[in-house]
Amino acid sequence: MNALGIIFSDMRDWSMTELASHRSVAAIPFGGRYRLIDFPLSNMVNSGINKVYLITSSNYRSLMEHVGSGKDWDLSRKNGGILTIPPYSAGENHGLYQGRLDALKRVLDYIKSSKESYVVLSDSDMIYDINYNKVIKYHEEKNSDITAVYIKTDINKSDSIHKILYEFDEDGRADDILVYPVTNGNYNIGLNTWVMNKEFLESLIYDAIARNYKDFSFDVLSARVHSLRIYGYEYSGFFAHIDSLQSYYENSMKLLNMDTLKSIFYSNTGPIYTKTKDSAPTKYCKDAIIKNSLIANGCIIEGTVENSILFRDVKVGKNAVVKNSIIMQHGRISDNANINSIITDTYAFVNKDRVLLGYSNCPFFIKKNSVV
Amino acid sequence: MGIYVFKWSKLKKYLEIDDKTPGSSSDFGKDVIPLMLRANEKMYAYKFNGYWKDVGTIDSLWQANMDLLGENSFELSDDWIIYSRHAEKPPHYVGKDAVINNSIVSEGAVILGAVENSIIFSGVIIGENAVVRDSVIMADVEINKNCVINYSIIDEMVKIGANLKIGRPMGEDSEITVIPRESVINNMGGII
Repeated sequence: MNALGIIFSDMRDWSMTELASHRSVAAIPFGGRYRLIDFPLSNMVNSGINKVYLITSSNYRSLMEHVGSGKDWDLSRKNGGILTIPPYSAGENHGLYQGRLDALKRVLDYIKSSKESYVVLSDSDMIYDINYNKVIKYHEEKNSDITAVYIKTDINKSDSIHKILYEFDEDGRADDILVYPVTNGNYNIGLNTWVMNKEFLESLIYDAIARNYKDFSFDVLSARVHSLRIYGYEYSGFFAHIDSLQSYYENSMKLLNMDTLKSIFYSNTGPIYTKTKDSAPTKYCKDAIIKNSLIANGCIIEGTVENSILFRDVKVGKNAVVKNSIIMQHGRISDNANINSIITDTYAFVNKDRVLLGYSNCPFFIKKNSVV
Repeated sequence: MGIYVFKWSKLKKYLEIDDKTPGSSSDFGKDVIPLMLRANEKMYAYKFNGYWKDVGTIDSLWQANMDLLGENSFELSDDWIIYSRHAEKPPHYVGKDAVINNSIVSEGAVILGAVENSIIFSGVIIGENAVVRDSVIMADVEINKNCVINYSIIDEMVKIGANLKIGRPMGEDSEITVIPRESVINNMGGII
């Protein structure tokens, strides 16, 4: 495919403080065996994109570890493949990016050197399943400068405030774009995924340099909505925006619905690829009780697990009870412990007889490596 | 156990001698090792104390699978990873009314019924009210609702229609039922 993929690993990590305190948003574990990056990356690979720039800003160690050479996404190749681009720490243009446009400015030379005709830009905090070929086809048909993927939905149904809203004329061309508005009702909400011709993106970046623009949403989309041909491509499948602990919890719990599970992981677009760990399958001991849960490989379950998501290598001890909780990799819930509505980050250890209670609209978070 | 470690030069030497010996069956146990013994080569045995099983029969294959469920026989863990090919599948899903006891379940499986003393491979679907006991269910098998599977090995990609009984409960005189790969078994007949 004749397109370059650019993925931003963390554009809005300020609202994900707990989960992104020591990792990129893109490296947040999700769905029992994945990290958020797996979703945009799989969308790209399933659409035939074989060259991806992954733009990181800070704390990208676990992201680098996860992505590695890109071989699990079939992106370890001589032509194209995945390139992780951290910011420079010294010299011209050093320091963290101050917005999407600023980040694009810093990778301009990489964009210029690629030979693809189109560029697909995506964030890492949205989970949906799309074939970009269809978006590019629409982009060509409408002869647009920018094609934005959006979903029609009730804004009240989401707790996220970081939304870009599009209004379109009869032809589907944007005539108003609102960035992070305070509002409610039905809107066309952008999925922070855009298709552009590569040359056009270059011209946008030159313009941004000349005018010191840093923010793509305000300085390009909103400010130039009438001078640019910005079209919307409607997406209508499962969509989740992970931008707070609460939305992380709620969207994770949606995976316990079989239909949702099927629509994400068994779609026509293709599978979701991730780093493979070769763990043994999960073992359920004689007195295990398990209901409505999603369980990764490598777990040993002796107690009770209900309405929960267990990542790889989690152990639940005898008479321990885990309900409405998310236990990330290498979690240990010891004998007789009782936890409800808890999210434990990786390597958490809950000692014997501990009782931990959160509530569904306020899940209790336990940090990486904590011993309770 | 048929596992040998040789000094390369010695192996080359005795294989060459064996090659020139008329009538040799060129078997390590029958020819090469005795030849080295006669020549007084330094040979030692290493006693292996871990889990070992020849899985060349249906019964031993079934038993080896069941050994994974035992407390002290054969444990798979991240301490000694067994590498394998992986289907790109999500974690396994266990339904609201499912029951899983003393079993092993792999990625991509969907368990809505009951599973006891069994090994469930990746991508297996076990429907509502279905019961699987003392069995090995290989990858991508589909067992529909209300089925009862006892003491069986079901090979990959088998489809079993609803309300069927496969295998006889494990007992002194019952034998393991084996369903071949990609079989489709429905209410119209087939192996019951």
